[in-house]
Amino acid sequence: MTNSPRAKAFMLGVHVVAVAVGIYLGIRVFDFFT
Amino acid sequence: MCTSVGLIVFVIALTSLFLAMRAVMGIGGSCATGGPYVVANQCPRGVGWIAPVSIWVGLGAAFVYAIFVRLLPGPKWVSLMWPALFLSLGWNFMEFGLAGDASSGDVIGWLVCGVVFIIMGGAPLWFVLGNAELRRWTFWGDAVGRAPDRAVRSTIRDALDESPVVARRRGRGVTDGDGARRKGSSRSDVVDDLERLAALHRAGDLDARQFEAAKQLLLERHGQR
Repeated sequence: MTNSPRAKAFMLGVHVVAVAVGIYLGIRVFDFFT
Repeated sequence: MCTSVGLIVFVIALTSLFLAMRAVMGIGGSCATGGPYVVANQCPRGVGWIAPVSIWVGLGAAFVYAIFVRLLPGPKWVSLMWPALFLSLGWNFMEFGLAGDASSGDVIGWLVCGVVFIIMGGAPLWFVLGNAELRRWTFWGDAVGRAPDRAVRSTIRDALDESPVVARRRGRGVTDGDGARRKGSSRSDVVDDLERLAALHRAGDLDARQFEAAKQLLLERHGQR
C-alpha cells in the first residue's frame, strides 16, 4: 500500500470505524458479563 | 487486519474498563466478593474480573496495534492510547466527584485523582497535538518498513530511468515523443526531472524525506548542487 493521500484517507476511515465498532462491542461485552 | 483487530480489541477493553469503573464508583467506589469476611459492598456481577482482565487485554492489543500500524499509511493512534485511557478514567473521577457529597473524604479523593488523571492524559495529548511533526505522524503518517520502502525505491528508480539527465550520463540518446533528438539545455532537463519528482511528492508516492533524498540524488548525478 503506497503513501498516497487516498490510502491514508482510507486508513483514517478504517480507524474511525474500528473505534466505533470497539465502543459498541465493548458495551455489549460489558452488558453480557454483568 | 492485525491493525484493525488490535485497535478494536483495545477499544473494547478500554470501554469495558470505563464501564466497570463506573459500576464500582456507583456503589461507593469500593467493593469485594467472596472471602471469609462479611462484605459491606458486594461487587456487581462480573466487575471483579472485568477490570483487571481488560487492562491486560488492552495492553496486549495496544502492543499488536503498535507493531502493525507502522507498516500502513495514514493514522497511527498509538500516541492517543495513553491519553484515551487516562482522560476517560479521569472523566469518571471528575463526574462522580463533582456529583457526590463535597464533605465526604471519598469525593475529595476522587476529585484529586480526576485532576491527576486529566493532567496525565491531557499533557501528552497537548504535546502531540501541538507538535506539527507528531500531529502529522498521528493522523496522516507514512508507512514505514521494508515493503513500502521497496515500492518507493522502485518509483524513484523508474523516475530516474526516464530522466534525460540520467540517460545522457549513461551515453544513450534521448528523444522526445516524435523520435527527434531532444534539444535544450541540461538545466531545463534537471528542472523537468525535479518537476517529475515534485509530482510524485504531491501525489503522495514520496514523502518529504524521500523527496529530498531523491532530489539530492538527482542533483548529484547531474554533477551540481
